[in-house]
Amino acid sequence: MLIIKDLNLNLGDFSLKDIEIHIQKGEYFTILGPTGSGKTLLLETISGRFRIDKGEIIIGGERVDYLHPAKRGIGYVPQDYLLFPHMTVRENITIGGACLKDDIIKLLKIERILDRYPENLSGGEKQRVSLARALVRNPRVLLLDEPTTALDPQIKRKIWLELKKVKKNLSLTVIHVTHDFEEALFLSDRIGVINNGRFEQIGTPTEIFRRPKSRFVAEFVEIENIFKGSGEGHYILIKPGFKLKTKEEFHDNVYIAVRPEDVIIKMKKEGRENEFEGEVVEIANRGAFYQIEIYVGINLVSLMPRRDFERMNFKVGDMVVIEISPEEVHIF
Amino acid sequence: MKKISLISSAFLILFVLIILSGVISLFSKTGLYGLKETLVSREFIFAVKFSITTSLISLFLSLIFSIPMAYFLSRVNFPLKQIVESIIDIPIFLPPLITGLSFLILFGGSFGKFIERFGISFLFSPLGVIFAQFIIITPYIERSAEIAFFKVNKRYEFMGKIMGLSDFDVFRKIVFPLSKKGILTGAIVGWSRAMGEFGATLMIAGATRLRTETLPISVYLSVSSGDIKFAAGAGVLMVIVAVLTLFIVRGVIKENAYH
Repeated sequence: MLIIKDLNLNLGDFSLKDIEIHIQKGEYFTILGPTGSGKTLLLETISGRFRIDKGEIIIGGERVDYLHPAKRGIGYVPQDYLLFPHMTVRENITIGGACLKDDIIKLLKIERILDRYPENLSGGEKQRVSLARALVRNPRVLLLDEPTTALDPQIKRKIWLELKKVKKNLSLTVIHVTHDFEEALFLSDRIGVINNGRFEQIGTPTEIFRRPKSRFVAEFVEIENIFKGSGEGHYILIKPGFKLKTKEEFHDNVYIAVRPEDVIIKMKKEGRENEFEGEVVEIANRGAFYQIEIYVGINLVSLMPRRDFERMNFKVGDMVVIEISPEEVHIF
Repeated sequence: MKKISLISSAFLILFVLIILSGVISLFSKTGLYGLKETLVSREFIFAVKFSITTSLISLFLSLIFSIPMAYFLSRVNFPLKQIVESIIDIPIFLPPLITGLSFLILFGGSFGKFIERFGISFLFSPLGVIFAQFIIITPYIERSAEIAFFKVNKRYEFMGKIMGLSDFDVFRKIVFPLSKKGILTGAIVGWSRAMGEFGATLMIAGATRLRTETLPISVYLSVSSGDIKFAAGAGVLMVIVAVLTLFIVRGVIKENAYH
C-alpha cells in the first residue's frame, strides 16, 4: 500500500536519511522514536509538506512525492490537532468540500459537538474531531502524529481502543508516530524505531521488544540490563566472576541485553545455567510490579510481579539468587 | 516596594495631568457655544467631510497594498529582505514633513509633468492629500498585518492544503480570518493617523481653504489667521476621534475570540 524507497531529505539543521519502508494494506505501522528523532518530519514529508531530495513515495501503486498534499490520498491527524479555531467542528470537518459521514460521526461519537468551536472541546474530543476530519476524506493511508501525547493516561487508553476499533471497522492502513513504547506495543502490527533521521530497526513488536538490534533500540524499549562483554562461542564475560551462557553464538566484543522481567529472582540455587548469588540493593514499588536491583558483581535490574514479591518477602541487604535463561540473553 | 510604588504613581498622575491639561485647555478655549458655532461653519463641515473621505480612500488603498505585501513578507525569505523592510518603514521614522518634501520634489519635477499628461496631479490637489495619507499610514498597516500573519501557525496552511484548499482559499478561509484582529487594529490606527496627517499633506497638497482642507490643515489655517476658537473647535473634534479610536482598538485587542 505504501512504499518509501531510499527517501532522503535535508533541511539544513536536520535530515532524513535512507528511509525504506514497505507497508501492507491494512497494516498498523508505528514509527517509534524520541523527541527530535525525525518522526514528525517523516510523517509531514509523506503528507507533502516538504519536497524530498531523493527517493520515492508510492501510495497504492502511484508515485505521489511530487503531488499536491490533497492529491496523495492521505489523512493526517497532527499532534496538536490543528483544528481551525475560527470554525465549528462541522466546518472543520467539511472544509474543502468534504461531506459529514454519519458512520464516522457515530463511530467517533461527535454528533453532539458538531456546532461547537474547538476552544470549547476537551483534549479527547479535539482528537476525535481531528480524526473525523481525516477519515471523511476516505484516505488510502491514515497518518497519526502522537495522537495521545496531550491526553491523560486514562483517556489515552480509551483512545487506543478507539483507534483499534476505527482501524478494524474501516480497514485502514495506518502510520502512527509515537515516543510511547507501550502505545506502540498495544497498537502496532510492525514498529520502526527511528533515531537521528534514520531507521535503526523495523520489526514486529516482539522482535523490537525482545531482540533489539542496537544499543539505542535496547535502551529505548527500556531494557535496563545492557552490558559490554567479550568472549567466544556461547560464553560471554561481563566482569570477572560474572560469565553468562548465551543461546546465540558470537565472537569478540559484543553488547548483551537482558529484559528486567527475564532476570528471575529466587531464594536458592537449583543447579541451572546462569545462576548467580547477589545482594538486594534497592526495591521500588511500581504498582503491579516491583523493580529490584541486585548486585552480582554488576548491578542487575529485575522486574517482579507484586504477588511474587510479597510471597518471597525479601528486603534490601538480603542475599538472593538470580537466574537468566540463555535464551533471554540477547546479543548485538 | 511601597516607596517605589508611591514615586511611580506620582509620575503617572503627573503625566496624566499634563495630557488632560492640554485637552481641557482646548475645551476651555472653545466653550460649548463656540464649539456649536464651529461645528456648523462651512469650513468645518468641509474639513470633516474631506478628512473622512480622504482618510477612508487612503485606508482602502493602503489595505489593498498592505495585505499582499505583508503576507509575502511574513512567508517568504529572500536576499535583501531586511533592506526592503527598512525601506517600507522609512515613512515611520522620517518626519512626515520630510517625506512630503521628497514627494513635492518628485512630483514637481519631470516625473510630475509626465503623469500630468495622463490627468494625474498630486501637487496642491485633493489627490495629493490621499497620496500623503497613503504614504504615511501604509507602513503602519503593513507592519501590523505582517505581525498578524506571522503569528498564524504555518501548519494551519499546510492542513488547509491537505483538506484540498487552493492557495487562495487557504489565505481567504484560514490565514485571513485568523489574523483579522491584527489587521483590524492596524487599520483603525492607520485611519486615525490618516485623519490626523498634517506634515506630508502640507508639503504635497498644500493648505488651501475648501480644497485641500483636512481637519489638521483647517486647524493650521485658523491658527495662522488668528482664529483660535475655530482651531480649538476642530481640535476638540479630533480629540473625540482619537479617544474613540483608542477605545475601539482596546476593544479589538481585548476580544480574544476568532469568531
